[in-house]
Amino acid sequence: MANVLELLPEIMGDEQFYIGGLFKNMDDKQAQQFANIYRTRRKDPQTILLVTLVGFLGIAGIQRFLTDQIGLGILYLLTGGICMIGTIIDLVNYKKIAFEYNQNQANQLSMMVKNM
Amino acid sequence: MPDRCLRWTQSSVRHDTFLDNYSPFQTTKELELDSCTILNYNLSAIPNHYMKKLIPVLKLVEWEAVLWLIGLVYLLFINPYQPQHYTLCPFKNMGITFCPGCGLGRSISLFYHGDLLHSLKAHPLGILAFFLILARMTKLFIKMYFNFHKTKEVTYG
Repeated sequence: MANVLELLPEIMGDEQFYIGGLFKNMDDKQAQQFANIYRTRRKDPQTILLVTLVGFLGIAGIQRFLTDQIGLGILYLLTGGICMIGTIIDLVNYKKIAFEYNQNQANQLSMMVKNM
Repeated sequence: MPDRCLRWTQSSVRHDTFLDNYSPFQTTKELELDSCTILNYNLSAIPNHYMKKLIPVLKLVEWEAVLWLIGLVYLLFINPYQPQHYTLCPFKNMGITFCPGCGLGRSISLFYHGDLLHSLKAHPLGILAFFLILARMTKLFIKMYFNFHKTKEVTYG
């Protein structure tokens, strides 16, 4: 069975557990394919953090655009991150935002890989 | 070994077969065995045991959704017709008059009161913001509900 630490050494924490769970239902070849595609699709939590910090310079909400939440992204952009309160919330919450997006991508991808 | 502990160990053995599902309780096998010995021999360690149980549950809570909920409920109780109110806005507190987000709370509060015209005047995006936040909040709470459900299934069969 494929090992997460070997195929995707850069992922950590909850994400690692989650991907490990998905790998249990795949064979080695599928897991390798999954890892290759997933690496290009996932968003790094650090990217989300840095992009959230840009919100303090005036352009808020890029993190929401990056994680496919266009509506909230537009709202953040036009209201300065809801008077910076929204930006501060996202600063605390950046790991969960990234994980939510990555989880969706992983689910879609595992379906695709199994049907290939 | 008391009955309760026997049940715990059984559930932890069953839990092993469910490990392919994702769960923050994945380390509970050791925790549960620990708690058995703790209950039998060392009563003073129980608070620590509860903390260990509590932390994974707290991790499942979507704090973002909780904050949105607090915000929307708070806006139910303010009076939007008051001329001046306490503000969290860092721009306003620094003395800068231009702020793109100010008036949003007042706008949503006026929307609650049914005063759509003044709501749009206070902030044109207020009503849209209310529905966007509501949608996001609902989504997060639904996700949280399913997560709780799943972990229950995983840990107790």
